[in-house]
Amino acid sequence: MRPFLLVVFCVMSLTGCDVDNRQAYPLRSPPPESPVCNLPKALHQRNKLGPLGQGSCVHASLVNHLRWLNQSEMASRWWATYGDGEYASRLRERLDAGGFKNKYWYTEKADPRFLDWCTINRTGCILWWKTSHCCTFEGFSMGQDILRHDSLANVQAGVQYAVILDNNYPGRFEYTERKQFVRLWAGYGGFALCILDDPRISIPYPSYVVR
Amino acid sequence: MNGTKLELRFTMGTWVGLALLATFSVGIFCASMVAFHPRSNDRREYLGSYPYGGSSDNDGTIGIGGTTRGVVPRLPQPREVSPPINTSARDEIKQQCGPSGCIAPQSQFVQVQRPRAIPVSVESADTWAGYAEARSLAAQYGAALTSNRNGSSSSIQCYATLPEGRTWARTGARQTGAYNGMNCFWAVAGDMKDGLASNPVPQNTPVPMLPAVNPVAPIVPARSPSVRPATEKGRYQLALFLGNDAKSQSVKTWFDTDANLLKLRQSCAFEIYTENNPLYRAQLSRIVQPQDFPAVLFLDSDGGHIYAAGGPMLPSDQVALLSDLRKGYEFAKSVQAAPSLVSATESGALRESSGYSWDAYISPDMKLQQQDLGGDCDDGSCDPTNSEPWRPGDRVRDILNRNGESTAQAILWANSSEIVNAVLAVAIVIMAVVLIKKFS
Repeated sequence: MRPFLLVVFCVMSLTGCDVDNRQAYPLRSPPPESPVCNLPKALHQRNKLGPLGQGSCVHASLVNHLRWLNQSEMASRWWATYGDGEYASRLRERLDAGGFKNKYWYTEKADPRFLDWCTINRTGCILWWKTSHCCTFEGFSMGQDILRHDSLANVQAGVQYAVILDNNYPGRFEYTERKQFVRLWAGYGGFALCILDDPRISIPYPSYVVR
Repeated sequence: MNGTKLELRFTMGTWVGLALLATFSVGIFCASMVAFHPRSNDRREYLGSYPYGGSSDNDGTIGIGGTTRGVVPRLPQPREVSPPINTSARDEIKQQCGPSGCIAPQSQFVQVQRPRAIPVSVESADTWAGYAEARSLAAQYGAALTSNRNGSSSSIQCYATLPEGRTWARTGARQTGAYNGMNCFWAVAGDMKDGLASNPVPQNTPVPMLPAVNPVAPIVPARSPSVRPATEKGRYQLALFLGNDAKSQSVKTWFDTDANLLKLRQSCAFEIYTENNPLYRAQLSRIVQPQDFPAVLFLDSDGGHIYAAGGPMLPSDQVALLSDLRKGYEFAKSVQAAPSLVSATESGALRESSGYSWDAYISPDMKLQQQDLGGDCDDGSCDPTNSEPWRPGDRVRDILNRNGESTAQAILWANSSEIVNAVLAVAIVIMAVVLIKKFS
């Protein structure tokens, strides 16, 4: 009898109390959205000819940028107000007049850190890109992330690309390898401007599960 | 009786002995683990007491093992240097239009570049573009404005020369650039304005546009380009999905007036979406349905769910909402910090009946998105422990995945509580065997 009791005692010593089976476990975050500033294609603004017959690429780019920042009403007003060509100083003057004074920042030095900031904060920006042209920068993305959403993209996994929305070709994104992009950007003038506002929220995902 | 008493004393001695043995074993085990796993602070001592030691800094000038003493460390350098800027392209007007083609630009800005028909009969230089301004500036600087006609009425060369002993500030030369063509006075005037004497422009080369003729006055930048806003990586995200009903208005008022909610709102990336919002319709409508409005979504910086409630599950007042937000935050943080130790019920933060569970209320679409990730590891950095419940042995893989963080090796990776539990289990088994043998 005593050996039996001892065995029971030992088994009880090794047994814990199961108060609650359900515990929470973190889930892996999904791959980053690509592009980082994933403006829906339905909201891509196409370029237009202004009253003077000039392309309005700067304003179209800014409209795309504002829409991503959830300022669709301001984007509509801007698009209705301004057209034709634009240069940096007048753009800033118009932004100041439009209520954005001290609510934007810019670079004229082709500083890649500016673009990194815009990527980290998911704001994107507008920049001088292509000859006499302005586009919307949608952030840097890795090749594998781009391929996950755009399997036909001519990119390589493990390489970082700048994602550009050209207002002459709405509905698609263009990809340029980072180093080449920065070099070409400097050749096109090295100007970029970002409105300081919160972008669209990230696509939510369940961060934990309870079992 | 005497035999029984002796047996009892012997049993107690066995207990004490086993306890001492267990304590000794734990001590030995812990000491060996500490020896195998030096703390991060201790690692610096192995690097010759050099504060810059580490794999990323080891570029040949900084060694390991005390060899770095006396070596001047290099300053951190930018990984990427901005290339030279094309200033002409920077300041030019951006007016490109689509592939269908553009009407020729007609702005005043570009018109000065267009060749003008100069009447041949007019010989006065005053008729040349920019001549009046160039002459005025030359008088201001005390420079002599020179122009040479080369036979043809459409060909002219001009430049400005300072008196002996004076030079243009930017170049140190007496003479500005000698320009050819009908716009040469514009260019010379621009050079004089900037105190700059640039190199002569070859024949037929377009004259730089901006310096002299920019019709817009310089604008004082609203924010210096060198001043960077603080990086906001890591900001939590708070989104309200509001309709036109009274409850939606109440929720908005809470975040406008309640001090605590206002503080939370200001510290987060905050957005309000309505049913008509284009971004909502395009990308968020499948996550929060309009019939669930008003809804509050609280996410981490990557979009990880912390708190979500909407419709009838939304608390009735701002105090309860803040409390629930706080509980959700604490719960999510504790799950991330120690997943195997968080009890869903004990924490009090997870009450599925109130809609705090993701699965209970939010669209299952997001769950499908999560399931799509199975086996999708393009970059090879997938962490299997995060996609599955914790299992014994997962910690080993987890730590082994931390490449580069530590060079220490060990036979067994375990924390102190796991070691103590293991030793106690062994001690109890041994004790049981001994006692059984004694009593049988």
